Amino acid sequence: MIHSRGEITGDLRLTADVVVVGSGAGGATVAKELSQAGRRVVVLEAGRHFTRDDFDLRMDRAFVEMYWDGGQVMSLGRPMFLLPQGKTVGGTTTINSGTCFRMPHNVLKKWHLDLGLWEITEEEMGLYYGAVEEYLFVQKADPEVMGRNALLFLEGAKGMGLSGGILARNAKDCEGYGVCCFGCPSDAKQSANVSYIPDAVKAGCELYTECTVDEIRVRGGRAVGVAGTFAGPGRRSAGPRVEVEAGVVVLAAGTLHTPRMLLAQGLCNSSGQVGRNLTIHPCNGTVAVMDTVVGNPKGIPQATYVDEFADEGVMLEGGTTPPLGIVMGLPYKGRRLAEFMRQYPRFGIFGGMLSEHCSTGRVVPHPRDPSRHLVTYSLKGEDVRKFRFMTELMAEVWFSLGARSIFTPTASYPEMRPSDLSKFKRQKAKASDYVAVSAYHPLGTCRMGSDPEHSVVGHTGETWDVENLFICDGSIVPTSLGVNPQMTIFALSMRNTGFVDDRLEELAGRKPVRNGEERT
Amino acid sequence: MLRIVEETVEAITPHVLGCDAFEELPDPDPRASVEFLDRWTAMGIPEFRAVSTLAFLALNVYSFLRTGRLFPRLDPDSQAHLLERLYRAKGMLPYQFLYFLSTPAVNAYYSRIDVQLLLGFDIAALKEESERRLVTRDGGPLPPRDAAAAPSGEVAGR
Repeated sequence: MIHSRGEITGDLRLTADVVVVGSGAGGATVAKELSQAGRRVVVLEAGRHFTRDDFDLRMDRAFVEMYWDGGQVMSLGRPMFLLPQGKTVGGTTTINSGTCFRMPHNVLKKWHLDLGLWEITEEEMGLYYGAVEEYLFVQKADPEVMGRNALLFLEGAKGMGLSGGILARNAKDCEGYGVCCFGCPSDAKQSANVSYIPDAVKAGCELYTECTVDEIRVRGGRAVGVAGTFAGPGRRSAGPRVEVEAGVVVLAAGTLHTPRMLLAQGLCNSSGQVGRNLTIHPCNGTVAVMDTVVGNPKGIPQATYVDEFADEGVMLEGGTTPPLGIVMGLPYKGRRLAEFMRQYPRFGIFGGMLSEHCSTGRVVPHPRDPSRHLVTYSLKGEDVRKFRFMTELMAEVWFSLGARSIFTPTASYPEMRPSDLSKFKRQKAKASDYVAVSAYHPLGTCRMGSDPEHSVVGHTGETWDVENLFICDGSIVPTSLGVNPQMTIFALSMRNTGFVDDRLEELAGRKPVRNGEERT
Repeated sequence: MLRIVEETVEAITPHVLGCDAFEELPDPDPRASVEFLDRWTAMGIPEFRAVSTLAFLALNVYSFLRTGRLFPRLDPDSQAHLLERLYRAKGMLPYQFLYFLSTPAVNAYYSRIDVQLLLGFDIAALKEESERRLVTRDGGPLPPRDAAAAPSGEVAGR
């Protein structure tokens, strides 16, 4: 059952086999698998529960209702990145574009060679990916509904001899309403809120919304539960308290919030790695003014990609964005802004992400408020050049398609005409030149590894320092994946759920159930 | 919210949007910009609210130093002239400054359903169609697509 804040009238004391903090890709997977295995599962989610009836296609409302801090999470550094993160049942899967990739082979190889994670094999991960893909109806986007914009850019890129294709997505019968990032109004996108969570609840999982966990309870070196607070009637007021006693605690609050919780209590940090090793995918976008109507925003927000330079860490992915998503990053004000926005139906929109990079950041506690954190991240060295290269590449594609001008998120060339491109390429790349950029896919802040001195969790997801405390979210993914990470988080969480289940068996004094055996 | 910030948000709204130059664009509602800023900053991190407030106060300091009057007390032409100087400034700092100054007006205006419809984003039609084409995990045929949700053409009146 999903319990909303309004139903909670007084303090709660609950017991469960497992308490899961967070209901995104990681937490929802654990909740579903364990509930269906007959475990008593309680999930505590900081955000609210929304259904397709609530999703009204409005970006402004979605940001306020479903994103952490109203969509204003920023990294501190050069440049500053907006880091949109979901705060709702389903986590960021509810407000992402639904792009699905498996972890590239070379990444797992790096995990083996550099981190000693030999236990995670390609064959095993293949099985988990396969199961998740089938469950989430992962398939390539339908060109009939993806919108002209995505195909146009791909045509341009292919015309220049660049490799690319159509993205796979976790969507079923998608009609391309263009608003995945504000909640899918038809339930076509198979985010955790319409797949894992309903199945978990059907199997008996109890999910409490608008509940922020502020304490992980540890006794004798073992996690024994959590405590938290429901949101109060006012925006910043506190509501009833909740305490959950459980055999196993699973943290799945995401790459930014899981380390914040651990750091606030000084837990699991004997390696000093909690909050470190943050990788993100820094993104920048371009808006081109075309001669013909492109038809935004009807279409799929991310439908095609260009991966010609993926090995060098540059991946272009894109599609469509509503007017509000465009106007916020434009350099113009006044009459020029209005004049420009009138051309919205003719906009070509595409984005790129720095998929492989050497820059890393950190999640650190807020100096004055332990319930909050700060994110630091700066583009360094070669990454700055690659970041600019993305803009150059997108500009070349748009100009090859006949764009008269494009808009870039740079202070030096906010508007670029074909004749400006060579000058732009010649100027020195500076991180501070980028002014309206965002980043996605944070990973790595509680990284997994084989050495307790250099990692926070082992390959099972259990923390080295506290028994029965598992982490199942992007924070354990130890390196950038080079691709969108939701499938890997789903798959790794499915894998780690098996170890949580084993632990529950051990706690009950039974031998863990292995594949092919039946629980007695 | 400080009274001077409210007044500045209201005063800057028509200048930021520049809609008066185009007949087909609806008039902005300066009060909606104030309401947006209030709602938006209340949801976000306290530092964001502080920076946003500082940006509007800084505009008034700039206005006072250049003209001897606070921004909302200037006549519209003088306000426009002052802002033009800011628009022409290059670099990251002026860009970020203008970002904070323009965010309330831009967000309040371009999130309006009538404005988005004019630009080809028919929220009501798409919502209606999506309600008739709800997807279930266990399958079942969907009703036919609706022509109302097809890509829109140029902005009306162009």
